[in-house]
Amino acid sequence: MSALPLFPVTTVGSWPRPPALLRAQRLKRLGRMSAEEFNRLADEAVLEALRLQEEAGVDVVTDGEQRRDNFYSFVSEKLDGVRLMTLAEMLDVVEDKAGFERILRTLDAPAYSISTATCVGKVRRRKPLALDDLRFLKRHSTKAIKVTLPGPYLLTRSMYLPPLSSEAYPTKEDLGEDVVQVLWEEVQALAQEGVDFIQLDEPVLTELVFSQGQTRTFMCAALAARKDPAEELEFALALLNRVVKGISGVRIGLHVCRGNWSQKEETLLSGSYHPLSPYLKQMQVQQLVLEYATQRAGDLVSFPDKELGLGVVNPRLERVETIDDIRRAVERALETYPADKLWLNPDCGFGTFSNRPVSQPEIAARKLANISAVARLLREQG
Amino acid sequence: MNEYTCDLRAAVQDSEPATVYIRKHRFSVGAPLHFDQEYPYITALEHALGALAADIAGGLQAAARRHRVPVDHIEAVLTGRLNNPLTYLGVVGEEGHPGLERVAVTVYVSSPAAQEEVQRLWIETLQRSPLVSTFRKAVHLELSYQIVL
Ligand SMILES: [Zn+2]
Repeated sequence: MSALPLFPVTTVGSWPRPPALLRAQRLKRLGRMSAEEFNRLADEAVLEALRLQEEAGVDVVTDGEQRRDNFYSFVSEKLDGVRLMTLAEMLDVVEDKAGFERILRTLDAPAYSISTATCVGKVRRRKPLALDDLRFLKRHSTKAIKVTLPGPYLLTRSMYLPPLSSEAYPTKEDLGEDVVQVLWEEVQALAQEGVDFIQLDEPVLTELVFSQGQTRTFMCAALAARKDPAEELEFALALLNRVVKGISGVRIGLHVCRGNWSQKEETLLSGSYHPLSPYLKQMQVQQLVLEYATQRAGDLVSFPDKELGLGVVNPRLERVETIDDIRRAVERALETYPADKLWLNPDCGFGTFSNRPVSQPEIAARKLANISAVARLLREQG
Repeated sequence: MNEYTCDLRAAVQDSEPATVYIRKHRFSVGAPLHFDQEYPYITALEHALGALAADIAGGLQAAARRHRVPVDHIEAVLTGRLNNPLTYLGVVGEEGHPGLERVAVTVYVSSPAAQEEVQRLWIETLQRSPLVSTFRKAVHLELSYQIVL
């Protein structure tokens, strides 16, 4: 990898999967397609996602999370003690059933079609989470590579379902210990393999501060929150800093957003990053990848020692943001951040949940191309 | 079999719920309607709407079997809106009636079959459904299906 230019352009991870791959995912789940056959289709999809990113001028590429069903439940295939459960199965065991039904209505999806990872025993890293994906990308791209991983708080919180998890772990804090270990091992392995950027996703942090105790996503529905948000945020902070402890030679980023499961903006959370900022400041990461293209994110918050992965396009909007729109957004951010600390990216992934993508590949590619165009303009201006 | 009747008995003792005896089965039914999410029984209205959703989902499954169309999953979601729930409580001066005004059902189907095939099953399901035929005459019914990959 050569040195990155100013205003590096990247994505937040996911890319819409082609219909053939979605069908294959279902067949694989039902045991009607072999892992080899699935991988062949997934390889093709990754290469296509890669091609579109490279053509759009992206500097740091991802594999579009094509092999994953969504950004976190895929860990069930790689870890001992974790089982994939559909939301239909979870309906029987979640505490807040009415809240859960509201969430399902917002998703406009059947409960059987969305799966989540649940802890049912001692959690161990049986297989690497993303190392093979990284190796595949390295064989097919000369660009710098970003790998996304679910953050430790998200994993701990979403996987802990008391009726199924409490035999292995009396509390979710106990589960957190092993989640940290698994992610720490993975981060070490990715760093040794020469990944350029590891992005940890912690989308539910916003839920702790903006939802007034109302559960808003199924990632948090399993375990009704009884704790003070501040206590949960301290817990999240401690977990994350342990995952990245002692890592060097790789850029670590943290992505926090307000939900990406619906194109209906009004169903997503809103509020500024301010209430999270004391915690985000203490997270031992170089970069915060934050959404700012949506009004719901409020004003730009300053994090003096960190890079900002500035969200400049809304992945859920069909309208492609113009070069002028994006440029204005970057210029505003330059009032707070020095140029060498600014990265440019969309607010979130384009296909966070495989069967509920928020965009189409053509639109996503055009958005990325406009971001790249702005980056080039700004670099030329010097 | 052009004469079929459905014979059942509902008994209430002291307080709710009612016990319904049907063939060799029994089930409990709570109040006609209740507004408390924590109410411990399934209301009569909920039973009726649950039956309608299950009738459509189950009917579609049966149609798929009849025509040997592979279907992996079917799930129906239903929303029923009453004309004026306050009339159930007997609030003085309220207009309207406590009956259902609008019922919307969306059925999610996962099937490798072609869309036209699923469409045929859907039409047949609605034509053959006892509860759809009945509800149609009384309520504004909005029925739709979505194919989910
Ligand atoms: Zn996001």
